Amino acid sequence: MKKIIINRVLMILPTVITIAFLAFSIMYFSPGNPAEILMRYRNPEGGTDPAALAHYEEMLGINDPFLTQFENWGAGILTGDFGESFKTGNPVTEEFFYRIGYTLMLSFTGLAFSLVIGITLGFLSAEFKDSWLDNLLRFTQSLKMSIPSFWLALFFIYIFSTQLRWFSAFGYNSPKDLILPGLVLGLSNSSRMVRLVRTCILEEKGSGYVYTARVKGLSEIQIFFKHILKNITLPIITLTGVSLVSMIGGSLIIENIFGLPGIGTYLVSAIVAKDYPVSMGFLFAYGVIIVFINLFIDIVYQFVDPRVRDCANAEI
Amino acid sequence: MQDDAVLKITNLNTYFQTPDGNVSAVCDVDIEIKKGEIVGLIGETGCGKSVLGESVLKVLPYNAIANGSILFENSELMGYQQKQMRQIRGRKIAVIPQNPSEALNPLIKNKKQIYEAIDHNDKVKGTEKKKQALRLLQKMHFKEPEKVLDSYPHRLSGGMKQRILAAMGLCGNPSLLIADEPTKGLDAIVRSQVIETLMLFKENTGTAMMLITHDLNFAIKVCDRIAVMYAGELIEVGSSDEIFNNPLHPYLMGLFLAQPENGLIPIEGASPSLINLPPGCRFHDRCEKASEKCERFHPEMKKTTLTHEVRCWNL
Repeated sequence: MKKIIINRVLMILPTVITIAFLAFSIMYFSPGNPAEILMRYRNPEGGTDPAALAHYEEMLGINDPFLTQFENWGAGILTGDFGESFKTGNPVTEEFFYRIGYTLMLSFTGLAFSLVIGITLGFLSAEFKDSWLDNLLRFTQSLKMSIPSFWLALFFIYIFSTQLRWFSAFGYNSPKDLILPGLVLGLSNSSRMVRLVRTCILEEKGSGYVYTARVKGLSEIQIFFKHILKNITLPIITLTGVSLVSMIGGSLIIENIFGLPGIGTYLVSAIVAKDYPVSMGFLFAYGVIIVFINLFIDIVYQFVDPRVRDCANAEI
Repeated sequence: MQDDAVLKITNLNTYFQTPDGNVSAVCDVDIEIKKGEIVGLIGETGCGKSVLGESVLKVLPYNAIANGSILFENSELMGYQQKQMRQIRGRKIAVIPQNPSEALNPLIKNKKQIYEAIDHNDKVKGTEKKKQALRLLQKMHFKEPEKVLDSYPHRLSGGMKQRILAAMGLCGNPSLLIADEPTKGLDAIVRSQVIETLMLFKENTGTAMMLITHDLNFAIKVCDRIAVMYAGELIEVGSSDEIFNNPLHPYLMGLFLAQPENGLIPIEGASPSLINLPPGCRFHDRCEKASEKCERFHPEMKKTTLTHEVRCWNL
């Protein structure tokens, strides 16, 4: 087991290097001179003084060959130095660590909501298959899928903040402020989870080992908790990983509406502002987070499924 | 009154309610299994033979309805609730499920799955439980029972999985074993292992058996009596000898001709839909001897000898 995990961790090295390379190439291949952009941010009134431009070019090392520049940037990453933002002059790492906290808190709250909603409703839907409850749940799921998350966010703000005054509508002061955005994020992600859980439970219920358990004399409750639950964890874990990745990178609409300073929002504004060090650093970090989520899921798989474990052992 | 029947099914009807109408999978089946007797239930896929077994165990899908009488050791199972049935399943009636490769939970160690069956029968402590599991596996001729207990199902062959399933069935005190398609999709070598497994089971328990299969040769080799099913009803019942040496129903004769050693001659046509059954004999449109009577009137079971019964007008 240890060997497999070490092997998996080593295998992510080339992936991380590739991500770094791609993230760096964005700045190198983008049109326009980064030095000029930086100069305009530092000295808005300065005009185009060739001497000043040369100074900034020297500072960024723009005239070095591509690989040298990449090496310098890469060496910076290894020491935790991602450069400074063009726009604010703050170190990129500082900007990142300030924001990633909000993003992770929001994503995990959303994930928790989506798991709780998804598993509960999916279970009910499967347990009462084809009843009015199942039909109602299935109808609401497709309805929910077609509602855009910004509409849901505004609707919730109207109900819970403006009318009921339970939550604040904007900004982050206490963990309580994560509930509303987390709920919106979780709800809009839960439809897939509900469907997956429903389908999986129904599929497992018709499977051979459940039949065996039944004829062995086990009760339906025992069968669900001892047999089915374990077998549906694998697809749930997979979807959880996918959802988490999409929440970390893709919740900018919700971050914007609820005024949470997350990485998604900042990355987009940095790309628009041609703030290259921020774009590069954030893209790289985002990529690495995805790699680690996948690594984590890979490892969880090894724990849950003995077949995967045996296959991985055979590979080494 | 001396009654040595372990299982006595009378007038059993099982049907599924579907949007297209009721599908009657089992129609008016009467069958009796005596103590220690092996009865084969043969028929093609979809003729209702597995549903018959599931009806006895009450593990039918939710849209199925069964009525009639199922007497098991002189108690009527028809009125039993699921809770009462659980006392019978795994204790009094053992089952070897279809398709052994999928019949064990892939994520749980064999040990735990066998323990579940033991726990269902009587609560014993950890070490005693392990001893009992080892004993069960030894009875099923496992050479390294310790190793088998500690591994997961995917490391075992299909035949081994089936013996594990049989071992689980052994841990109660069953007076009836229902084996559903024990030879389905198996090659000749494994098939003979299955026969061995069943014989081992019988040796260990002396139990009666209901063998559900579509494998005619296997049934004749193993069973004392054979019941042939077609489109939900029994069409011929007799001792294995009678069935093999003196098949009477045209369908059964056709089945014999369709065996590889007899030249693989297929029976023309397909069995009728179980939703709209023909009013007459269910086999008439595939039968060479069919007359107008066969088309219009439904034949009843007729005794030709003390043990041989057949459902056909042309006798």
